Amino acid sequence: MLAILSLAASTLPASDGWKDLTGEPAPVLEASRWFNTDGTLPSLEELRGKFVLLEFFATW
Amino acid sequence: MRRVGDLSRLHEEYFDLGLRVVAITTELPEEVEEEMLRAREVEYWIGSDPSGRMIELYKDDSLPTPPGARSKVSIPKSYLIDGHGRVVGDAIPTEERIEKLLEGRFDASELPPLHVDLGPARAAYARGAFGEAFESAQVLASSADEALAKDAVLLKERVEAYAEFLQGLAESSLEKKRPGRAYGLSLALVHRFEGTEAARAARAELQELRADPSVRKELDAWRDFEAALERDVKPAGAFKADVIRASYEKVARANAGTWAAWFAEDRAKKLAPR
Repeated sequence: MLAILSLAASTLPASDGWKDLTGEPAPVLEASRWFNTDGTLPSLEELRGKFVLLEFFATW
Repeated sequence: MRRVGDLSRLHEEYFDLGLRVVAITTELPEEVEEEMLRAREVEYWIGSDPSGRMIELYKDDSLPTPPGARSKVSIPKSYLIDGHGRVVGDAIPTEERIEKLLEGRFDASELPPLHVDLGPARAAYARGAFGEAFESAQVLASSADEALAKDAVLLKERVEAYAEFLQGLAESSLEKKRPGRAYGLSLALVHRFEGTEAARAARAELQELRADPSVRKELDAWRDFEAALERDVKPAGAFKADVIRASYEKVARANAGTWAAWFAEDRAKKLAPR
């Protein structure tokens, strides 16, 4: 019985709660305030052609 | 906070080469400010989004959530987005990977449709003869046909941007104490980007690097590479890919462990039949 249970559990997709967006267009980048820039996010024009490493973080 | 250091380094080192690190938190601006003052070494861009809207956009809503509970996401989480706004990864990339991805922006497949008269220049670009593409685009850039001139300028600028990218990689290799690699990149610039400003700068750089005794093994390997270029690759021409590939493979085998070997192997792989 235990074996069957663990088998069932292992078939559930492992997930960190985030969408797998590989190959998809990235949703917009927005925030109410930006730091280390001049207070806004540099325009999309400036970011065009650039790679962006987007990081969700918390200090807690 | 090792992660903060890693992200800062990526943002700074690859800024000029085309990477931006953007970090999002649901913490309030005051909290972010306080944290940044404490951490100090944060170089990348941080956005405060207390509304959690960004997380909503990236969160997987299809997951079953216990009734009454809010669905959870694990933090930190990264997404790597390419120059077309497409997601290409979900982890902090290694230096090798990011360099490869950044260089991929200059693949021939990334060129937009161009005026038909630029066909030969485009073909030269596609087989890695960037100097030749540059030269012929430069001639056509002063054409009376405006559409042609515009596309010619675009191609010319693309070659220059690629050359500057490699020049930037060479500079960062020097900073990271990898003179062998800087030598290889400079060599590639001199041989394959003739006519560009970056190729001229690379020629001078090669002279300086040759004087550096710490890179003897690497330099011997590059000399081998150069010799193969002169002996096999250049006379073989564009249609003898198998001859060129065999020559590169020989260089790679004879100089295993050097950047020259890595470079030769990379070239050989690109020439392999599909």
